[in-house]
Amino acid sequence: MTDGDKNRLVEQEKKDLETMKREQKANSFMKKLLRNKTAVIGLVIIVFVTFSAILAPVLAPYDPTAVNLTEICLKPGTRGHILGTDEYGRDLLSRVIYGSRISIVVGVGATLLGAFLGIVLGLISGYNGGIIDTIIMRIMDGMFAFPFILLAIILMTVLGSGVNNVIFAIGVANIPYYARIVRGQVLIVKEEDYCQAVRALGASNYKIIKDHILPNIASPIIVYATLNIAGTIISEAGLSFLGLGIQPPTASWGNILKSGKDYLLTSPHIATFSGLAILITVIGFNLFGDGVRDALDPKMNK
Amino acid sequence: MNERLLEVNNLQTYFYTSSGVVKAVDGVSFSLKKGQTLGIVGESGSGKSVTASSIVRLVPSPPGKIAGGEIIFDGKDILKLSRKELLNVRGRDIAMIFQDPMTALNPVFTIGKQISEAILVHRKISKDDAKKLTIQALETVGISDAESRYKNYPFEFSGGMRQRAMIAMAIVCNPKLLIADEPTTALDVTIQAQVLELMKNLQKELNTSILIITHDLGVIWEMADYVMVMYAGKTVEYTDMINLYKNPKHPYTWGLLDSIPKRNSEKNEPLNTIEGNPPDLRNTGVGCNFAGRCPYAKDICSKKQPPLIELETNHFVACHFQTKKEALTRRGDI
Amino acid sequence: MIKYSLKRILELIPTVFVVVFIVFVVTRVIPGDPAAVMLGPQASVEAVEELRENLGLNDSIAVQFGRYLKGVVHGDLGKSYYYNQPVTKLISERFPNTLVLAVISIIIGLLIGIPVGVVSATKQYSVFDYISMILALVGISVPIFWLAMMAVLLFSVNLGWLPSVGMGEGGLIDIIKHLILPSLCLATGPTATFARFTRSSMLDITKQDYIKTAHAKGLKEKLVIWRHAFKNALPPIITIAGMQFSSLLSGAVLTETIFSWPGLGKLIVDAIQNRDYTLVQGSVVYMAFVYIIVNLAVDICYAFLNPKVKASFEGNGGGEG
Repeated sequence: MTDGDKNRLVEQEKKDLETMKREQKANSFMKKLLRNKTAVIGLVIIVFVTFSAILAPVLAPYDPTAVNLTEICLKPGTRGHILGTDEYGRDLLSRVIYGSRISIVVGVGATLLGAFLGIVLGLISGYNGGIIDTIIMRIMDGMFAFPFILLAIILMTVLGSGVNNVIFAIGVANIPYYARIVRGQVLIVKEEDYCQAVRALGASNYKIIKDHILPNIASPIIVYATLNIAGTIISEAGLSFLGLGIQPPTASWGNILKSGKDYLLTSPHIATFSGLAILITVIGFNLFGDGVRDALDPKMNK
Repeated sequence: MNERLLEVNNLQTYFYTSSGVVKAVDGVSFSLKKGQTLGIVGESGSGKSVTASSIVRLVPSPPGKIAGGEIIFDGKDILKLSRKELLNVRGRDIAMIFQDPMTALNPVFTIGKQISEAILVHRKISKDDAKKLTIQALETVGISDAESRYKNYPFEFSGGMRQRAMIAMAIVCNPKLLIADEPTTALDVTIQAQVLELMKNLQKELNTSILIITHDLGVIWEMADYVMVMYAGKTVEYTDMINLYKNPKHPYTWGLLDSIPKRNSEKNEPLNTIEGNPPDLRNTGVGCNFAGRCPYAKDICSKKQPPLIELETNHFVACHFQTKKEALTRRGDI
Repeated sequence: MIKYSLKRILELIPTVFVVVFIVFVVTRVIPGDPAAVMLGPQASVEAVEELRENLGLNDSIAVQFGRYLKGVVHGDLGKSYYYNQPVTKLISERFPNTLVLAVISIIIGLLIGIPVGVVSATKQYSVFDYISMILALVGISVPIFWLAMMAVLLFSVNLGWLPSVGMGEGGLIDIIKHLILPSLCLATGPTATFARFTRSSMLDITKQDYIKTAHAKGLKEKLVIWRHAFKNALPPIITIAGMQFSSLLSGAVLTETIFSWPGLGKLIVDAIQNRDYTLVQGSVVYMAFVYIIVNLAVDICYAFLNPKVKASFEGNGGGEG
């Protein structure tokens, strides 16, 4: 066997060992997570909401946009409307079910967008340092100084309403949070001995980022992202509530709440059920996010 | 009986976890006379630190609990003391110092304040008087410029100085018993010697008894009058120090002594180790805990627990084959 | 300490610049012509054009920005198109109302959240712990605008105990009555966050060696928790408090809308609807500035509490914050 062959064998063994370690880690993570009862409850809620989002056409008893002016503001349980109707006679249950679509899509979409751009910026900023870092961080600071809702409101006013715009606006407003986390981790890892050693051995920047930095940022990012989805859902509801996000007749829990506000005294069920939908979904994501955080925490040993 | 300051009989401290009951201390017995030093030696996980914590009931509970046994200190049954009485004993009659002085000192308070607090908890004197006593204590442990050091924070001290400060905090109320849990493990070798020297001098001056926990046989050699060897939560051997080196009886003790690298060993001679790993403390209790790693083990060893018997005067061993009737020949003995 | 503060203030200037820039650019991109909005749909094209000239809206963006920046430096935030009053005057009328809400909410949050967190941590797994953590979970999950509506429904409408709209005309008592619902609603988030965070922080701290040392000295449990453990939990709590404050300023937008509380948040939302550029800009810049000041105060507090930082300033002066 030549030296080259030997080296390759060693490399292969190392890779196999690492894959095995990673699989072990993933397994123990899943075990820890599933042992946590509240996390499982959260997961069940998330699955439930996601299913209702996917299967909305099947689950909803009525067309959510079907206006019926003879049946406006019906109380829950009357004439075949389990949750009652809104001010245009549209079945509330169906609208709430369809609303889950918006919440899931926007929740996950905006989080992914913010996470992706934030991670990229954080990597560039942290890894390169110097002027690039300063510029990017100043911009991030500026964005942080903006009250979150205001940033989203302003962006929405510029872009106009619609699902894509909402995803964009909330996603962009989320960027600084991810950028900050990633940059912080990059700075720490960059200085660690093993990173300097690997660099001295001539590893390319890309390899360093892939093998050393990314695994280290994965945990805090995953935890933050899961909890972020919860916040994003609330943000979308808030924007729709202000009339800026999703416009009727598309059903969003936020815009249902908006009409609920106008009819609060006479038909409180509109506001109550749409709000409950938001509350339960967000609780689900928060529970699950907490569980993920505890499962990934190296300090929590058995 | 008055001579014995501390008497521990068959102490059992268990931790109740969701994956089982961890028997960290499962039948430990020893005693300590006034003015003497007892060393507890064992590897990581042997239960020595838990034993030390149990003496002042400092075991985190949940999940820990002192499940059985007796701890008699200065005639008082520690396990029966009320909370108030216990708080009087802690810090005043029995003081503890811990392994890592960096983490054992509160980072947001000055050293001086922490030591003064130790005084003020037990004595009704003015803050100024406490400060004076603190500065005295700092000087006693060899910290120069004590008056200005009083205002320093732990991170402003070096490792050795921090440990000295911890010792100052421990002796400031003139305790009858000082429990030192791995006091030198986190220190540089040269500092280790100084700290041990300090402790010995203080002991002479104050006639304090010392219970020193360590895995380092060198520390035992320096400090201990008596030694108790622990393995997997149990006492396996207990005798005076000289006897332990000259006439050890338990196979585990042999393993420990053999694993000390010798100055005159051959160049390429491999270091002696004890084969195997310590047992899972959730599954112990059936048979001798050391049976799995013992080169002398026989059938009975994994079935029945060896009782701790007094083989000779003041020499206790827990081994089926080291009794008044039988004896093991240590391999390597000519 | 002074050097540190000055250094931080200097660092803030580019941040403020970025904020002003972002707001400026974004508001310019908002479709709609403020002049047209101001004059109403009946106005003639020439009148609108003339107004645009007068307002300087036809100059290049760069010129407009420069003019604006100059104004900001001199404390002049321009004039509201819609209300035809100086922006600074409008802000100074409204901001105190928002500030009152935010401050009261933070105080409630700290006074309730922190002790709950500490007790939960010390009595982990107890009934108190479970219940308080469930409530805290609901507290961070509930959309505040919905909570506000439910509160109005329950307390104003059904029980008739508390007013739900506006700030009240009368004296202090009346204002307080009007304050109760909005500030309690707004306080939910911070209270819950502080409770959760304090709990997890204390749980970590009580596992530390120095807590064991404190026990070994014979200190009573209460002293160990509040003197030794809590003091270590304080710095991160203060950081979180700063972040919560910013959150509150955002949250105020929604809460003020529901309760018709005459604060800055409502002013901004209305201004956006009215395409009132200068008002939007001025208010947002102002809010951002306040946030930056709060952050600075938090940083300085943090440095003060952290002995390492404190000592390094007394010793050498200067160092990265």
